[in-house]
Amino acid sequence: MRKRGWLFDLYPSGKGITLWIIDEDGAKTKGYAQFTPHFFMHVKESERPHVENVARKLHCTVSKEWIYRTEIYSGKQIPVLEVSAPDTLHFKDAVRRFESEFPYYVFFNSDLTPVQMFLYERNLFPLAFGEYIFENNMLVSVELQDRFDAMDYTVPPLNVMTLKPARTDAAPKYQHNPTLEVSYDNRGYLIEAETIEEVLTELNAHILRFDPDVILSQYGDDTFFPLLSEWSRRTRIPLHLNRDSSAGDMKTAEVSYWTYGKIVHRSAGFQLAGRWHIDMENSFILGESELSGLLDLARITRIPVQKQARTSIGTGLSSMQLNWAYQHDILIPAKKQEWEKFKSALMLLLADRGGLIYLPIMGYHEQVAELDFTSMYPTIMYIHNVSPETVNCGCCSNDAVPELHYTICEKRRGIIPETISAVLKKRAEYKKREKNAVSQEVKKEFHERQTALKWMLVTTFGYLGYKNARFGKIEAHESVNAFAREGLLRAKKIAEDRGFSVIHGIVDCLWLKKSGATVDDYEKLCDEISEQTGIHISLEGIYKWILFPESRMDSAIPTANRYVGAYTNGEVKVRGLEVRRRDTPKFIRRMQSEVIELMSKASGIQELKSFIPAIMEIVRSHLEILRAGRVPPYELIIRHTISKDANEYANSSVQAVVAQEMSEAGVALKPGETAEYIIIDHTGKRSTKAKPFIFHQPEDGYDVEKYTELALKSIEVLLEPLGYTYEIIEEMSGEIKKKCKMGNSSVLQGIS
Amino acid sequence: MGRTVETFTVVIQEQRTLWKKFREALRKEDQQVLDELFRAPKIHLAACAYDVKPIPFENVVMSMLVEEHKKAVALQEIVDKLNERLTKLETENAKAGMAV
Repeated sequence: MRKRGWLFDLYPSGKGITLWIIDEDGAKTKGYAQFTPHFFMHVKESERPHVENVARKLHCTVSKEWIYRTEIYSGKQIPVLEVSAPDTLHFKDAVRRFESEFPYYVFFNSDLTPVQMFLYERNLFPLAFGEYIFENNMLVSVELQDRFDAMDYTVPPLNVMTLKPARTDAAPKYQHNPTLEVSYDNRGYLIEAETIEEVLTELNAHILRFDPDVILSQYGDDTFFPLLSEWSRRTRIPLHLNRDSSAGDMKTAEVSYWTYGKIVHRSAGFQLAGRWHIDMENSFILGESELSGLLDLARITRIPVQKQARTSIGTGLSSMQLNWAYQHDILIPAKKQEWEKFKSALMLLLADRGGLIYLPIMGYHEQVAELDFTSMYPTIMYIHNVSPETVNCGCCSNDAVPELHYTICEKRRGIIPETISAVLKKRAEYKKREKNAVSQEVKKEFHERQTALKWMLVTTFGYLGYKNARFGKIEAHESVNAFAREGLLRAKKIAEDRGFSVIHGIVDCLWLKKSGATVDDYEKLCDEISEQTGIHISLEGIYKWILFPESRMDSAIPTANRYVGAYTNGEVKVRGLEVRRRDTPKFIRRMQSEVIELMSKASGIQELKSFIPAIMEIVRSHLEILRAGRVPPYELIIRHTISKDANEYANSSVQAVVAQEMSEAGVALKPGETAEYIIIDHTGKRSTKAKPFIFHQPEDGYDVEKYTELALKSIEVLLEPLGYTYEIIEEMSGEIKKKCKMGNSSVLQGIS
Repeated sequence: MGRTVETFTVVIQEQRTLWKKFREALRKEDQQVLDELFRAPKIHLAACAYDVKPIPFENVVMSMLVEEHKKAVALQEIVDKLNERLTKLETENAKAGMAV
């Protein structure tokens, strides 16, 4: 049997690996591939009988000869034993048993999943197009007509069904008996059944009728699928979520973890067999880059789509590195082995530094240009061959890294530059295609694809210094920073030598100003900087005006990366202000956004000043609605990430009150989850300080005084540098009324 | 994140804490002056971080000196301009007096 089509889904099963192919006519075929996962052990000759003994008990086989493979850091061949597991389902158990029997030996390739290993070994990837040849339903060969890093590729026509809660104002886990809404073929169906048996039967009927390839859900991972599968168990009514009825549930555990100074919560995953389930609420990459970005990433990282949707970008990056190592017969250590070398305190002081930050010159500026280095950190790794095994390689004696005087290998290319080169090339091409796109549709497609890759490039650098990254080495991480500082400093010097002054600079961006400078002047400057640093820098745009507001902590100084400006083409760029912050109530974001929209029409500071009456009109009209109690509650929601359990709060802050109220109601928020609340009385004198949004009733009202203050502060940021202080703005906006009760019809309309 | 050496922003905060007792004993108006001085290293974060000294107080003081001298130069320019105008006025007045 020959099937010309795409590799849609794959997972381990009793027959090795189960594969689903979608052919060009849209037909789905299930087949199997025989596959024996294996790993390597570097043990003493005398341990060999012991290894064979353990293998016999576990039905594993051990290679008869010692096999020579490359150890990544030394680049030397070392002898290892190859241990093959009996099948794909028992690979993990076998590894675990071996690890407990041989705790002091190094294992290689042992933490790869059988699916990963299969894809690497057969040089396949999700959605790979080609001719799949089966005999007796077993895959015998593949004639691939596709490449994992291809820029032009086709995607099978996919039947997409969406599954979401009918009520979307609060997460379903906080709702009593949430109702499901299923949509496909441009039609939506509410599953309003009386009993759980009916819900299951009705949902099954929809799935059987439409036979979706993809179920795009909202809260499927977190709430619906676990709930449905529990109901199915209880009622013994089989649930047809899986296309492959012989496969069981494929679940992963939920986790809360710290990353970049904040706590993050990831829901448990619920994957399907023979069809994809993607939870839009539980996929970082889908939120950033939509389905086309996700598919592009799955292809290049060789991680099955459902896993790629839920995994961190770093995992995708690791997979690319693992594949490269696998293809080059390089052993992949199961645990990181490269510890940090000893340094003197002075050296540590010199090496352990990040990128450079020039605080902005506070206030409004006109005709400022923004210059950005394109993918600066990955480009540094690529052009300077920065990789864990190449920095301080031990075989070369050069002085390659500025300031730190580390050496970089001249004899071999590193795993990092080798793997990111495909991503860099792909992203550069996608950016070009996005820019030259003839239709909005094509533009969107390439924007999504390049955004997904951007996240991957961003992660490469972090992973060099991440303690758990397999191919990480702190000296490589330090080297990239050193090159980056050197790059920014050189750019600054060139700009200053040409008469430009630096208004602001962060790591890989510069904001420059020179009286009378034209686009041409800036382009020339970019060319000169690109040539001298080896990293491409481009003109992002020229601002008609840009504001660097004062810091919220100290009004006499500005903060980095907080600004608002309007480019000469009228486009607005905002960073760090309320309108960009997801903790700010929607009502305030909308008001600030309207004001900024108006301001973007001004050609310069003088005209901005003439807009003040119109700005105040916007503010007044919004405050009028606020004071009349007519703002729908969901527009007043303040979002706050919970950092500890409800009983761990020692104070009675608004956040503590909310976390405790939720906990008392039986909803225990996990650290990293978001609490949504409305301020009722921030003083806490007249009533409770705040109410979780889900418990908020119209008669609770909201704190007009506090919300007015938040609104005015969002305007003060913009007008204070023009001489309008909070007091002046407050006076111009009219008087404040105290807490108001809501209950009129317009409020209720807002809720529904 | 996971850094061994603190960022210079944190170092500035620590340096302020080191001078907390000193600040307490200052008169209220002088406390404000000290607070203003401590803004200097924040303004020169890039330079401080690029060339951090084993005793970071040296970076803090050097930043303060740069900012103070910048202000002195700016003030000197104003004084020079005012002086120029004053001399001009005096010359004009003297001429007017002679004419009278």
